[in-house]
Amino acid sequence: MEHLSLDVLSRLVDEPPTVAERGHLDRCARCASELEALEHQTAALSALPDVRPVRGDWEALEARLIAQGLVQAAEVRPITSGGASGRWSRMRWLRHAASVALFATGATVGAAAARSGLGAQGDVSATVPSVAQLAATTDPGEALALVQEAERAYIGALVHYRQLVGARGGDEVAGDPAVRYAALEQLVQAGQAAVSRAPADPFLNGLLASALAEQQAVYRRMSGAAAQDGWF
Amino acid sequence: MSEADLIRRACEGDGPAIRALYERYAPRVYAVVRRIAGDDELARDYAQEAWIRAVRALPTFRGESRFSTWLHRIAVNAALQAARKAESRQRHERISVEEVPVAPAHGDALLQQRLEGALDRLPEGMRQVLILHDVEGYTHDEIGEVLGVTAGTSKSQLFKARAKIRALLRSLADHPRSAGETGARAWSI
Repeated sequence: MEHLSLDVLSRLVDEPPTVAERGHLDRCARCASELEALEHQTAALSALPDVRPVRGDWEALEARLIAQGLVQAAEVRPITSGGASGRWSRMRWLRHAASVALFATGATVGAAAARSGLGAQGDVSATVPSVAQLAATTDPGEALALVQEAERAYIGALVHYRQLVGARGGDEVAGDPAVRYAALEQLVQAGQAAVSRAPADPFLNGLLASALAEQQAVYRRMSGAAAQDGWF
Repeated sequence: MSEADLIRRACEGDGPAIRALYERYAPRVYAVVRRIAGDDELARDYAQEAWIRAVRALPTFRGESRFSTWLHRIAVNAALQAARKAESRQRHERISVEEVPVAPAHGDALLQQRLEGALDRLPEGMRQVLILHDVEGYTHDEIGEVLGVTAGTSKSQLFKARAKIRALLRSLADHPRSAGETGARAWSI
């Protein structure tokens, strides 16, 4: 006895069988069972659940919506009511916090990268203001000073790093590139967080772009080294 | 806040309103684009593209259909268009049916995992038709419209896709990987 093909049985999930097909199904337990399985399969497909996107998807989407002008800037709300800090808006605080977080991370990364490749260096991060310090102040002038201090530490760390690289003879940096890549990843994440909170800030955008470019350069060097080692 | 209010505010670029709509519908959008993409990495790109298109098109939403239906159609179109544009599919973490983790307790969860894995293994054309018809409930005429094929081609691809999925799942039934899996309901379909 010739059985019905899977393609034919798949059709019979939606369409009535011909007389010949009906007759075969009545006599053949195997084909009847296959048809039943296909019907179960189709029902199961129609009941597949929704899938929650991975964490961080909204943040990435929000950044793109803002970049394309599809979302207005965050509304301005005072974080304290009345008093001398009435003009100290939430938006401005977020921008300052984002800046401090980025600079603090950047300074730490600069120091870590220099240490990993070029020998010991002082702990720059210890001198960098933190977001916690910023949160403790409600005075705009004091907050601005903290941001500027963090910025100086960040730039100082990068300058020091570059000087050390130059002393070692160009772009080739000793040490573990994976460590540098991981450190730069922290900087990129801090930069992305900063830019998502202050998307119109050209300085933060520039720093993020620089961090991404540096990270990609490290990745290319790692890939090249891996290829030479016969990893791929 | 009602959905109509959220949509009206989202039209004006209100971030919290857009996020509220995203929170409500992201799983639905992600599910369909993930299945069309057949790949997690691509799915994230497709989902973002779908949402950007939807937010941009919000002022054209007239309420003639349900918002979820309107959004779903945008997501499907965005994913299909992106899939067509892709020169070659990048499968970064392709999960084969054999490698799908076994859910310890619930038969339906295991079946769903195996179906999702099997979907990823279908050729692209078959997968798109099967997803649109059997998962999303499109008619063959609607599939023909969005894929640019005839309804007959859609039917033909659907029957082949069902048969292929059935064969993939049956091969697992013939070669269970552990004794604990043999009793699972997934094998019986």
